[in-house]
Amino acid sequence: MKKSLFLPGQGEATRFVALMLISFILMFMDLRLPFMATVRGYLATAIYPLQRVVDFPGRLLSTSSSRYQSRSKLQSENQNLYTENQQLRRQLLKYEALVAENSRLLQLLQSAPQANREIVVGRLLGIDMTPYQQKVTIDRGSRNGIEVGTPFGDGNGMMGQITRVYYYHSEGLLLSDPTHATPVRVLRNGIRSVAIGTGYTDKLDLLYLPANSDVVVGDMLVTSGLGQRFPADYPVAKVTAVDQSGEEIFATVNAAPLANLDKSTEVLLFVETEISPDLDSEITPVEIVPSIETPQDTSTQTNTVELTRTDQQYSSEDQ
Amino acid sequence: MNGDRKLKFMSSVLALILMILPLPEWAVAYRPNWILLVIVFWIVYAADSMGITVVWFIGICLDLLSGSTLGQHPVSLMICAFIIIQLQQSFKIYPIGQQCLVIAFLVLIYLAMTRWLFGAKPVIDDWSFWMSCVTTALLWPWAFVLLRELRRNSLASDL
Repeated sequence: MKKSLFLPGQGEATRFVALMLISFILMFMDLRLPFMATVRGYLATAIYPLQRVVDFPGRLLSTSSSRYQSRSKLQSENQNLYTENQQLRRQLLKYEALVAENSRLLQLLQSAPQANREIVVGRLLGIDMTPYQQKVTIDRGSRNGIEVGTPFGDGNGMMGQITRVYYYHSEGLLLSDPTHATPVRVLRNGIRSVAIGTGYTDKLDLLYLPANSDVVVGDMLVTSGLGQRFPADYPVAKVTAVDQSGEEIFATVNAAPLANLDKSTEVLLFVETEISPDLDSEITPVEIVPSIETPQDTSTQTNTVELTRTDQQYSSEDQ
Repeated sequence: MNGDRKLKFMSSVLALILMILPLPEWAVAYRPNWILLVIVFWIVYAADSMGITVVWFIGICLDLLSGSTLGQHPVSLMICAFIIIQLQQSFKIYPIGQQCLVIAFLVLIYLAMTRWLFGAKPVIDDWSFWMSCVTTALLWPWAFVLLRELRRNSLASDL
């Protein structure tokens, strides 16, 4: 009678216990031992084709929809893009002058060198794999220079940071994950805070804001650059609710991320390329700024010349 | 026999793909546990080759795909598989409604394992967390008929 219950044989029960033990040991190793990250990397890369298969229907849909579009729609889209491009170019003229001026001032202040960031465009392969974490899979990996901690965003704002890197792909944690904290500051007055995820893609909690702090609904939050994960001054969220009425020491402040955390399919990865110690590489952020009219270039050069002169003046004064 | 093994492999891979297929935010909690459906079918109807080792291996694949701690899915899946191995003789002769109930019970155990044993606090913490046991149970009759027919065809073509 007992034998018939264990139909596949008593061996099954011992195998069950053994595999259970192995699983628990694996869990321990995966959480505690650093070398498991490489083992995991190899295994995950081996299984990567399956992830591409998951992505396939979506890609098919997007390519077919881009192939079969009406002429008039394309024309109007082209027109819109053209006007947008014109506007952006106009803004860019000013931007480049500001970048040059800013780096000159930073140099004068002898502040720490800023990291150069190159932007890599990636596609989301998977979103929200289980109901208890907010993770995404991105089709860019260590071969594209992605590292653990590389921040990513979309055109509107920051989305999160990379937590695991494999050869072809990587995993990222979204801002809205309850375990994710983003150091931010209020753009209007520079008040610092930490934005914690709540699990809902349209809500972040701001911590450690005193009850009397100057935060109002509609304030823009940008990354503060503290913690050295996120580059400074990128938009993160907009304040949606402020409650300072309670008797508690801290105000209850909520914010909504600017990036479309649940809708974006393409992400921008801010890959750190190098620390630029000298001024020249500071002034020419070629990766980000497309080439524009030459007069601007000459002005930057003159800036450099001026600066070297002031440097000399400073050093002579020191002596 | 060979066709059987091929079908087993294909259905497992398909179930893995369905498990990680991106869904809209509201639908994530309702995602049926495809893997469990496939595992139950093969354990009950072809016990000789779908052993606990295969279940373990599938669990590891699921861990790698979903980015959870290695060993987390195998433990939950193996416990469900072990229960169904105990039940398999009687499960075959249960009426379909009762089979659905057993499936719902298994998914409930699975969810409880992921939730309490591993401290995986769900992001959306309300009753919808448990909904996948309903959707999985409702899908069982269809999955069962589909897999049975496919298996019959592959066995017939083998002969």
